[in-house]
Amino acid sequence: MFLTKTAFLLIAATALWAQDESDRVTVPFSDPSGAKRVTCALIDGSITVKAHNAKEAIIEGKARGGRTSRRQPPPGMRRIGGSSTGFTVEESGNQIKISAAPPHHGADITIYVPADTSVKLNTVNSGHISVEGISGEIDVNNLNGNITVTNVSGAVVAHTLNGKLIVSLNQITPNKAMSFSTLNGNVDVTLPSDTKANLKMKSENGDIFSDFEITLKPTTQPAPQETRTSDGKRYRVRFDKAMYGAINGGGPEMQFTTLNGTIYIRKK
Amino acid sequence: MNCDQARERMVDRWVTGVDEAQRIELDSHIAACPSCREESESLQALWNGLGDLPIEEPGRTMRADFHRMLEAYRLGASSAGKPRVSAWDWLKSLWPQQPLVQFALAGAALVFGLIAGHLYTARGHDQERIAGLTSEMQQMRQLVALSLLQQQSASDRLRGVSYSVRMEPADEEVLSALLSTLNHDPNVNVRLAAFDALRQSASRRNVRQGLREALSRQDSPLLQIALIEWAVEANDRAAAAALRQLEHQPELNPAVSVRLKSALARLQ
Repeated sequence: MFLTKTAFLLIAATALWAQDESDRVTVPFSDPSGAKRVTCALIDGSITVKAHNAKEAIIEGKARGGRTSRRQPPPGMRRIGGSSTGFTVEESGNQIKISAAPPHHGADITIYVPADTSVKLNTVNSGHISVEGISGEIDVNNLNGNITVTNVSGAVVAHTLNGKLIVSLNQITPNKAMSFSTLNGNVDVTLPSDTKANLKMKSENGDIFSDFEITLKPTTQPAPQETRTSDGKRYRVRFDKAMYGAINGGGPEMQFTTLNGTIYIRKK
Repeated sequence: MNCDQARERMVDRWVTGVDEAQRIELDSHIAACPSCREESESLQALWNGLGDLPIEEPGRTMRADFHRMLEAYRLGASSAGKPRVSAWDWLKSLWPQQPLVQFALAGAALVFGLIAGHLYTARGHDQERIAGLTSEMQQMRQLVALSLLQQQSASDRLRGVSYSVRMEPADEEVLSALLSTLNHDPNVNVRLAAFDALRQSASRRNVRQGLREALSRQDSPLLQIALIEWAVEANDRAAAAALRQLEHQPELNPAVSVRLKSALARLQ
């Protein structure tokens, strides 16, 4: 059922993107009523996912101002080829896989999907990831940009290194674990007020704020351990600087980790 | 009529009387049989003799004696006061008189006996059963944890990690699965959770070794920092070599470099 219909679309759309700097492709799911998943991995560029009222996915790519694509054709000539930007869109087993073969000059991708679609999105440089209005499992990873996940339901696992992480859930899938982490950005998560969860919060250099009634658990870690440096200077370290707590009586694990950012856990 | 029959009739004639035909038959037999005639005459004499016995007059003292006995009984009865009740009588009085209640009590006693007997014998088996169930539960957890760690969804893999943390004592197979997750899972958040889980079992030699090896494999600054901290806090001198190797990794995050330098100084 899954593998019978396999759509394979290679969009070597360089010329098209170069001409109007945008392309659009519609990809049907092989089983529109089944569990749907979209994965997208980029090196340079932003990814935006939005819900729409159709059974198929629409993928819109917009080339960035790369040196080659921006260059205007000489008078009387048109572009036939040249830049090596290549997106691959593949559908197999109800999963749409979008990837960009590097090197390319970066492109921003907008994906319109049916609301009940799970996504896995990765980008590395100069791009933000934004997800809006879908319901499912949302797995987003960025390196140098922000992550914004709003108006969604389901479960979110998100990580960015140097950007802000903003997540707002309308409804959560019970018994799903979630995790949010950054190195230098804030972690700002809004949860439904009746969310049941066990929280693990760790911010090395930042603060942790919440308007939830968090029942903090006494740390089960060993007592602070005393160590000595080579020059005999004494210092103390603790095994785990994380704080543990429960909201609404506890439930699945939710992890909030940042090094230099502030953690906000907000009640919807 | 023979002699035997005649003798029966003779007695009947005196006691209950006989009808006319039988009397004639009897008389004719008595007239003919000399032995029966003799018998009849002796019976006649006895019967008449009984009638001649004098009627005994009650003695003059008898009335007085009777009244004295009656008086004595009345005195005895009143001096005893309330009738004395023995312990046995008291116990008997507790026993309900109505058969229906008696049956109900007997039934209740039977049920009580059955339950008490069952509980008494079951208690011995309970220990074994609990031990059996505990090991089954442990196996189930292991299976669940191992299968969750292989899931496509990051949220499920996170759940697998938190499942494995709950295993006491930590299972070898699960620990090696966690080490593989720490080194190979594509999701930073899952790797972070795996590290936290493994840290709790870091007293084990193979886990320590695995964490040292992970130092050179991790590319995410969050994990690199977590591992550096662990090496310092556990005062693991054997990790110094791995730390020095990490120092030479190109494009090391500045936050990682700072920590790495201070960690190496402490572990000297």
